[in-house]
Amino acid sequence: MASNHTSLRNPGLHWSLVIAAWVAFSFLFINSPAKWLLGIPVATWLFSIGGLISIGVCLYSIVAMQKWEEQG
Amino acid sequence: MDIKVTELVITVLYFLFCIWIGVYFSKKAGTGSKEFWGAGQNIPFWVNGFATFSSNVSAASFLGFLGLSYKMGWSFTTIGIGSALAFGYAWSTLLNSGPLRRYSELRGKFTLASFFSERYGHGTGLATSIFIIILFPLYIVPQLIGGGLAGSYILGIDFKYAVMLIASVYIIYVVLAGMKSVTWADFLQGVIMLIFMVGLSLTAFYVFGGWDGLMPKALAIKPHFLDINPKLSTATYVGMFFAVALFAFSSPHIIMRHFTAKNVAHVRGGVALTSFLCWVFHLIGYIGVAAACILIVPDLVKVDRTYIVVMNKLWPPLLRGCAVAGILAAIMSTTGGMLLATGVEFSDNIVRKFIKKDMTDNQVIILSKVVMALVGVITTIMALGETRSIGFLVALLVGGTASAFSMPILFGLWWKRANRWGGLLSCVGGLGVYVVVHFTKIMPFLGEVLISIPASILFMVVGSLLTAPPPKEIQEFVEDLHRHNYMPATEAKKV
Repeated sequence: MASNHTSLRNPGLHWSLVIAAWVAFSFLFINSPAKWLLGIPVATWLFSIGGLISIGVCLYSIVAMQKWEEQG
Repeated sequence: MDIKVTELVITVLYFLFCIWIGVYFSKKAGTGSKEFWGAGQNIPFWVNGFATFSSNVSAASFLGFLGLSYKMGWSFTTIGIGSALAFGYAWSTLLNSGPLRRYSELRGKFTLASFFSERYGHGTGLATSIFIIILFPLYIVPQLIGGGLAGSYILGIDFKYAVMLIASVYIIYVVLAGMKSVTWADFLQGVIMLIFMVGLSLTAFYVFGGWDGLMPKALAIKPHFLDINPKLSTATYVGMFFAVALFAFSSPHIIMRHFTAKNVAHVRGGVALTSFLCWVFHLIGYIGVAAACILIVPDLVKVDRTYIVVMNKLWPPLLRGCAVAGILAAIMSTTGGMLLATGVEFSDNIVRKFIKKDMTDNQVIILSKVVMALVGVITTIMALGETRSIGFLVALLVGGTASAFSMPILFGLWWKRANRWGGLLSCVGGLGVYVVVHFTKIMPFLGEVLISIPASILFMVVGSLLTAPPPKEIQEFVEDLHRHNYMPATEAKKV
């Protein structure tokens, strides 16, 4: 069974799970009554910032994944 | 009708430029499928990033979705479209763009259906081709309707003439030079679209006195503009997010762009750039334009006209003419990619694979040019008679595409145990469940994928585990897709 999962150590897969966890976390707040900055609710704020952080993660991971793939 | 001459002249000049791009690349492009479908596989990340962004931004982005932002609130389009696209392309950077780029170089193939054929067998490949040939022309129709509406609102010409003008331009440049002209035309169109959406938003903030001048007034009129809209269910927010994110991850016309990149680093860089551009366009672009429209016309009924209302109020005719070119560019870039995908699916993945196996590359390209021209004409005729709303049709097709293709791609690249039965059931079953859920209305509109995507995963896992594992060469093929030098395992053993 382990041989089916040789790719599981790829940093790209790890970071995509982190991003997915962020999405799940953001949806938990979708009906949150808390309001900051002229009424921006927590969910909208989390998604806005989360999108930008994901892009940063991608830029970092392009190099990290290449290294992982070079090592085989 | 009151024809607006300045806007019309700029639009015609822009269209002529697009046709020139087609002619230029038809002379420059070499022969063979790698040139026609894969744009020679030498597109740098900054061109691909804008071109992929441009393929995503469509008629709906300037008309329907911006109207939703005005009507339902900026938070809705932020969660359901802008951030969804940013997250979807982030996943694509990390999970599928690199391995799929390697696949195209290893096997000399340039379509999603070819990948599915090799990974899961001809059944899934054929099903994918059929879905694309049926779904994509249906997606082109609402784009052309949007183009016709935009043309008639802004240029003052008749809806029918506007549709025919746009259709004739994009059909010419797609048929002339294939992916290379589509990519460069889309790059140009992506730049224009970004400038004119974000530019109008920044103008609105400037004219109305910055954030403090614009936002409190907009919120006084529409209190839920930045907030979760209580009229929409949580399932709609969550469903729209996943439908749009997984569409960006798996749509065949986007996947085709991954194959055109120079190398794996360039495809990943390009998709990360697309993610950023989608974020900027929908979050920064929409907030200013939609808020300004709330102040200019607080009770706008035809919300599709949000952009046009703000543009007419804040910009002089010359800038308006350029912005019209931006809107029409959005339509042509999306339809161009889809027309190309439809052509290659029919000619290469159906006719050459199943009917006339001895066709040469050039014969396939000629056949696909004929098919693209025909599909272009048929969809134009359909657009002239279509009356359903743009947003409804687009949303339906986005969810269907995500349900059919996203999980077979993900599992095909990352789970070696996934086999032909799992792939076929996941693809056909995912779309089937989506259609059933949509027509039985078990879930609210846009919430269908919350059932169809888990169903697709379930079909994949159960179908694969209940049947024999895939042959060893398929498992080695999956490993090759994650190898840096991507030398096929069989070749590596010889070395």
